[in-house]
Amino acid sequence: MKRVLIVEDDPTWILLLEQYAGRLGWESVVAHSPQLAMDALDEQLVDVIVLDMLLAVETGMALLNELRGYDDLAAIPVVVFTSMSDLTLEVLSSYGVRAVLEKATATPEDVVQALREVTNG
Amino acid sequence: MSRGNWSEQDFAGLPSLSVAAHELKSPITLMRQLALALQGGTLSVAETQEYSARLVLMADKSLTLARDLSQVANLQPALFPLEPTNPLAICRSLHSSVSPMAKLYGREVIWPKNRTVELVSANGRLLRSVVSNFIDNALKYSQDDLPIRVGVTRRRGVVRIGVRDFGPRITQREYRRLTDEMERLKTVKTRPESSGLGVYIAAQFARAMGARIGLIRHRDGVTFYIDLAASGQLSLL
Repeated sequence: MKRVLIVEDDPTWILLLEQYAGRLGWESVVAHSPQLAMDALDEQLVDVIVLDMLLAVETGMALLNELRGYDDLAAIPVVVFTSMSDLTLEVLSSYGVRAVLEKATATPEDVVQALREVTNG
Repeated sequence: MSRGNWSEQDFAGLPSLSVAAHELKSPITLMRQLALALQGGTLSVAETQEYSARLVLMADKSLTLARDLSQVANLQPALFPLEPTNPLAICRSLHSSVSPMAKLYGREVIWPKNRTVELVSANGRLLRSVVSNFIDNALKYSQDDLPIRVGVTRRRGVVRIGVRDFGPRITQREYRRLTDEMERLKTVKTRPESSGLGVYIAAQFARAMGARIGLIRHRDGVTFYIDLAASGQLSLL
């Protein structure tokens, strides 16, 4: 069973993303901040990370920078799921980001499809 | 605000349209996603009930913000008269509206248990919004498993309603920036994704009541407070 790390601090977005992962039969792990995400990754590796960029205290960029420092973590694909409308894949691809979805326009199917594609199934 | 030709003064003190739009966008985006998920027809009965409840919560949040923005744009004394107001009663009235949001974030809000009633000179509606905005901010900012404390204290002729959250310590530089922005009635960004609108609205409402808001930095969080003039009403009894 695949595992997704959801890095998000809004409880309703967490609920939705867990449901979307559930549609694929995947297990979810939730972290509310980049620091907690790194702690979670110390416990167990995941197949994909879904990352909100605007988190309390630190932004998602803090996690993207941190992931690059470790070979095993840098290989994990990241799907950025954000309320920012000006973030593009071109800007973030060097950080291991494989898809950028905007919260205001993405559908549940877009999210499920992105998770499927970046993990090749 | 007069109709017809609006002057620079008409816009003074209003947050920019982009700030207001950003803040309104957040709950509306969630409402959209919840509606799409409900529309998909793949949810269980329990999930459907949960999602529907959250849809209503987000709608209420959007409407509250729209109302607050409208009130900021129309802060005339005649519309928001001051009268002796019981801050404990304000807190009690907030309990039911704050509880669902607090439950969503898994946080506990601890309300004041004062026995002595201290009346303040305030407008109940505006004061309610101020405290509500502080609690809203604290819910998003405080760390897991730690409560938010609302307190009412009196010192000389001033009654303070404070909302204490337990979260990361803010740096001195960040503290100075926040207090400076509050003093200058600018939008106060307390978090990366925050537009600063909530605290700005609180500052405007406080000013309309002749009150002031402030911020105390602790080792493990912050307290946002509003200081109001104590009403002499009870002392006449």
